[in-house]
Amino acid sequence: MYQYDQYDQSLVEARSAEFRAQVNRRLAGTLSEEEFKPLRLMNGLYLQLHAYMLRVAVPYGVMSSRQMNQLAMIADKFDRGYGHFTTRQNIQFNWPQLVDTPDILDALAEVQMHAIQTSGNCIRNVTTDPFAGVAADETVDPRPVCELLRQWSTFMPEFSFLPRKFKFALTGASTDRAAIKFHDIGIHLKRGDAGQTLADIWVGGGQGRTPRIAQLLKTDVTVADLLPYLDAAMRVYNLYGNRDNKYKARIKILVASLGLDAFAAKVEKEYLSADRSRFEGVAEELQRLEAAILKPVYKPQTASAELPDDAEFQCWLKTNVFAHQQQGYSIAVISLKPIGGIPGDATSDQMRLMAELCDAYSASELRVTHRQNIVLPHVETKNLYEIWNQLKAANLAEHNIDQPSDIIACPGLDYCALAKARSIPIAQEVSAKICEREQAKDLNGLSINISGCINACGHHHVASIGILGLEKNGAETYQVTLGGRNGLDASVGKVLGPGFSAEQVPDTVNTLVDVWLQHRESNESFSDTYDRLGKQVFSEAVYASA
Amino acid sequence: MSNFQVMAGNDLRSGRVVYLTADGNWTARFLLASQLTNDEAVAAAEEHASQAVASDHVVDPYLVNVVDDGKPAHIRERIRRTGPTCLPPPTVDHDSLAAAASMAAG
Ligand code: SF4
Repeated sequence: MYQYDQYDQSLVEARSAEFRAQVNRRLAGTLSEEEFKPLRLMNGLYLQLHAYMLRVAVPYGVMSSRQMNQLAMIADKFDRGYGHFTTRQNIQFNWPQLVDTPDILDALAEVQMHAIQTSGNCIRNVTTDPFAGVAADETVDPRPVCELLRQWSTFMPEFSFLPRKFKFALTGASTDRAAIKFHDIGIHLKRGDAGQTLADIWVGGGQGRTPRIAQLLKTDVTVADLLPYLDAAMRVYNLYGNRDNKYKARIKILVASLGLDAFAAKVEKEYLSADRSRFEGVAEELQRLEAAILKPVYKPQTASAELPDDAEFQCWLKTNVFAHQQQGYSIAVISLKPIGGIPGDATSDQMRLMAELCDAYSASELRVTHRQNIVLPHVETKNLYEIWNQLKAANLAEHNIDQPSDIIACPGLDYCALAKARSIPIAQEVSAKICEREQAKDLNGLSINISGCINACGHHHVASIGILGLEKNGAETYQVTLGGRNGLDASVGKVLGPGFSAEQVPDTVNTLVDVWLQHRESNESFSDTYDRLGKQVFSEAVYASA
Repeated sequence: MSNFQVMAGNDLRSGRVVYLTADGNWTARFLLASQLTNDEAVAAAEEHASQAVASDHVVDPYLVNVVDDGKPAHIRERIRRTGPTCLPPPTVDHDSLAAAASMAAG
C-alpha cells in the first residue's frame, strides 16, 4: 500500500496542529460556534444526535494492520470501544469529546491517517473496488490512480468550496464492486489494444432524493489526459452547478438539466483551453505511485491446498472467499454483519484481531468495503481454515457475504441528526428473519439495504429490496423499493406502494422473498425476476397480507 | 399536545445532550430538566440558553415538547433522551481492565 512521504506526513501533522489551536480558541470563547462549525466539519467532526461524531478517512478503503490497531486504541481511549465502518469505506466514531479530538487527530497522523475532507462541499474520500490489485477479474489496478486523485484533491483550493460534495469511485475490473455508476464521477479503467491504460468516465450518478445512474461522458481517456480531463469536468461543475438550492446542487442535476451532450461540450472546451503546464509531472508522479503501491511478495505455491470438510467452514468458503490473481492465494472477506447485529460495527477487540490476522496471514493489509465489511486481500489459501477458526472465536465468521443478511444499513435515527427513522433495528430484525431461509436455500441475487432518510447513505435505491425510513405524523414509517442494482447493469429501485410500520417490515420482506422464489426462473436474481414480472405480483401479495 | 417543554442542548466540550435545570444549570439527566409550563418559564429558559451559548458552554439549544407520559413527544427526542435503541457491541470496561492491569502489576 501507499506510504506517506515527508510532504504527506507534514501536511497531516500541520493540519492536526491547526485544529488543536482552533479547538483551544473555541473552548476559550474566542471562536463562536458559528465560526467554529465549518472548521470542525472540515476536520470530519460532526455534532450528531447524542454527541460529536468523528469520521476518519480510509483512502480508497486500504488500511494497514498498524492503522487498524490505532483505530482500536482510539475506540478504547477516546470512544466507547467500537467504531462503525461506513458505505464510504470510512470509519466513524460515535462518542468522541471535542476536548479529545486534537489528540485523536494526532494519533491518526502518527499512522498516516486523518479526517480531512470527510465533510463539506469538497472532493470526498475516493472509493474503489475493495479487491483492487488482487481481484481475478481485474485488468487494471485502480489504486495508483486513486492515490493520484487523493493527492490532487487534498486541500485543492479551487475545489474546496464546490456547489456540493463530490464523490469519485473507480474500478479496474469486469465486475463493478465500487458502484461507479452511483457516483458524481465513476471511472472504469481498462486496457487498450496496446496494453496501455485507458479510462471510461461516467458522470452524474448518485443516490439521495434524486437517484440517477451515471451517463458515459467520455471513453478511452489516456492516463496522461485523465487528470486534465477530470479537472475540466470539475471546473464546469464548479462554474455552472447550482449554489442556491442544495437539493439541486449535485452534478447529477447539472448534467440532467444541461443534457449530457451540452455538458460534455463544455468540458471538452474547458479541457482544450486549459493550461497544460498545471499538469506537468503528473505522468511521472503516476509512475512513482505505481512503483510505491507495492504488491506483497507472493510465495510460489506448489500444491493446491487441502482444506477440511467442516460443513460450517465450507459454507464460509463458499460465500466469503473470492478468487485471487495469484495462484494459491485467496481474498477472504470478514463479515461485519452478524445475524441480528449492527451492520458495520466492530469492537476494538475485533479490530485488533483483524489486525493480528492480517499481520499473520495477509501482508499486514486490510480493506474496507462499501458494503461495510473487511477484506483480507492476500491470504494463502492453505491458511483459510486457521483464519476462519480465529474469526469464529471473535464472532466474525458469519458466512453471508453478498447474501440477503449482508445488509447495508446507515446509522439512522439511533445516531444521525438528519434521520427520519431508525435503520439499525430494522436491519437486525430482517437479518434474524432472513438468515434461516438463506441457509436453507440459495438466495444469491437478493440484496437488502436500509437508509434512515432520503439522503440514502444506506444505498436503499440500489438494493433488490430497498427500505427507506420516513416520518409520517410523527411516527417512523418505511417505504419499500424493488429492483435496484449497483453494478455495471445499474438500476434504481421502484417504490412498491404505501409504507409500512417498523413491525411490518420483516414480514413484508419475507413475503417479497416468497413471491420471488415462487416465480424465480433457474438462479435468476431478485431484480431480474422483478423486471420480468413487474410490480403487481409483488404488491398484491404484500398488501393482501398486510 | 405537549404538557410542557424542556430546554435541550449539547455540552460544548463533550458534545453530550444536556437539559436546563430549574436552578439554571445543565444536566445530562432528562428527569432533572426544568419543566417549562408557561410562556414566562419558556422565555426565561430561552434567555438562559442564549447566555449559555454566549458563554460557550452549550451549543444548539432548543425547546423539546413533552407529553403525558413525561417523555418527549417526538421519537427523535425520545431516542436523544435515552441513547441508541440498538444494542451496541460490548464496550470495553476500562475500570476492570485497569484493575486487572494493576493486579497483574502488583
Ligand atoms: S441516510 Fe439519512 S439517516 Fe442515514 S446516515 Fe445518511 S443522513 Fe443519516
